[in-house]
Amino acid sequence: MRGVPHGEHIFGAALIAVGLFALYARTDLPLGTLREPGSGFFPGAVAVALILFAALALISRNSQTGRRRAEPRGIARISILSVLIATYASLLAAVGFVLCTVVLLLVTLRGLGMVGWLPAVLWAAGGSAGCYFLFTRLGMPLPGGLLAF
Amino acid sequence: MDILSSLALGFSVSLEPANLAYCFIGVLLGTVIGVLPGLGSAATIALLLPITYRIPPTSAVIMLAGIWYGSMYGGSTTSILLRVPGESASVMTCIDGFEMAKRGRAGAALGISAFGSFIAGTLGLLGLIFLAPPLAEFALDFGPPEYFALTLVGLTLVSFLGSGPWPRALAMAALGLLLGTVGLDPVRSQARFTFGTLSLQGGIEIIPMVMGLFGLSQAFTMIERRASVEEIAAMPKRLRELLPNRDEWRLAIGAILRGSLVGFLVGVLPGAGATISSYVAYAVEKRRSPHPERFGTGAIEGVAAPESANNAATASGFIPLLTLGLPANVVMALMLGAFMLHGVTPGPMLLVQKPDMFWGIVTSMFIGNLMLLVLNLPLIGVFARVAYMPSSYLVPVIVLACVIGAYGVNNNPVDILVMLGFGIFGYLAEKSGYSLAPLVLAFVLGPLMETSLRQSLILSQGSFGIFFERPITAALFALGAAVVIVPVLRLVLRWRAFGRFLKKVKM
Repeated sequence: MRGVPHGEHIFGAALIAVGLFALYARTDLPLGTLREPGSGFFPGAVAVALILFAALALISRNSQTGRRRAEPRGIARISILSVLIATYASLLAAVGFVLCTVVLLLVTLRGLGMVGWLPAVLWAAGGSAGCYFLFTRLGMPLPGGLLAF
Repeated sequence: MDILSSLALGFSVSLEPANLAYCFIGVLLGTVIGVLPGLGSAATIALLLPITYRIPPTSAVIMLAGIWYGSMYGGSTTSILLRVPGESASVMTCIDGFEMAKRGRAGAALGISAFGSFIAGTLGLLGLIFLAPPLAEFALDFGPPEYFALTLVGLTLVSFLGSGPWPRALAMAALGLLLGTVGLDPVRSQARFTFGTLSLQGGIEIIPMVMGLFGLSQAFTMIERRASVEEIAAMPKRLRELLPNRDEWRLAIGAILRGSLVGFLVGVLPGAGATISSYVAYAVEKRRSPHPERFGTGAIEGVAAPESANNAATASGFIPLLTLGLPANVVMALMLGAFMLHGVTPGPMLLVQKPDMFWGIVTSMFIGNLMLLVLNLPLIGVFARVAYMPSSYLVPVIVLACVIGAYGVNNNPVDILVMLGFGIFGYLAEKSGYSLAPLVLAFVLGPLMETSLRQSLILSQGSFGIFFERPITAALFALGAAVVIVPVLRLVLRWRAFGRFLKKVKM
């Protein structure tokens, strides 16, 4: 197992954990019989298969030696974007589409993409207002939030 | 209905102004995303799935299909000019295409790539037209055991023939099947893995899932290594003579025809698709060449064969989907998702119940191929410049498309969080060497697989013999076993060698 990147172990182990959890969560579903399989039959079989194949993947030789590891700065940027999207989802209904999207685009363009302030502000404002106009015209009810009157 | 009247019906649908417009949008978008390194056709189709909600199903599939085969055309442009494959199916084109470009024959390489793609796409469509109806008629006799065998063998082939180690692919397929069981049981309508929440009763929505897995995870990859798109080499300034000369045509025409045949055959196989077909076509061409040493130094056959193969494969990839309802690769799985969003089930009954839709989609691909030829030759310089679009602008576009698309499914911000969850999962999976294609294929095939398994067991009174007594299921399992047996034996032998090594160490 020497030389196998650490993340692959964690991912394989996480898949096994998901399989075990599915087996546990399936216990309140009837297995039925082979003549008449119940609701828990297929999920149970699939969970067992998941555990087996994930275990096999863990112990079989790694063939992804060329895979590039994430750099700490890269992980930081991904984390920032993830938190940003989660915050966006949480505030969307209350704050509204346009304001939330301006912030999302501004941080993505300026903070993560290193685009200059002026183009970032212009793209963020224009993009969010343009999308709001376009999608509401297409019949998608985007929340107005603080700007709704 | 004979073939000619079917084609006439198809053209009457595909030549409608709206469908022509969707076809044009599809091939144009496909070419642009084919040019852009990093953003693949699967990601783009995933990002556009929510938009297809609001357009008629035939137009939606026409547009999505255009994106797929358009991306094959676009991928070759940057492969030849910049040695940057926009699509994985264009990797082989880089080898000889870029060498030709360095020798001042970029125009000929681009020209043969465009003509080869057009010829192969057209031949692939002819194959689709003549093979699909008899196959669909044959499939009308399929019962639950046949469908179970098809889905099981299909997933197994995807896992064994696709990229990456097969235990990982099978683990991802199993996870996809498990995710497909969330919601109401398709036979008894009992809630499963819903944990008391009403929103999970309808199951996991495919749109936030694929947008996260393919769209957002791609954005994560781009911001992780921010410099990749800006690292592209300088584009040659002059593109002389787009038309290949007579000698080049003489060398390339055989490669185009052989590449088309290889691509068509490989494209039907689950898991193989356009990428593998281009590798096989290149290998075939090199092996049968009297001067294999020319390959890698700018042989025009090395451009013609893989480019023809990947385009023929896009056409033949539709055969299992349209006739059996089974996607052969992840793009087809997304296409199946588009059908399902409109309440249409592709399969043998599609040709009977909706011949206008079936033939409209097929004939639109003829039109799309022609559009691509006309579009690509004069605009190659413009498309090559698209590759320079910096990721600083591309990432916000992808993120915005993802959040709007996910939100638009139910107008519920929770779907954005679901999309985010799948995005993080997709990024981590790719980073750990686990392919996402088996997961998505298994997710869309899961309900059919479960229903057909349970119905088969009820029919046979609990006997698994039903899967081996019927000739079609037996043949399918034999095919699956033939593909599986060699890698499994290899793994067993490796373990035995490892066991012997351990014994020696103990002694």
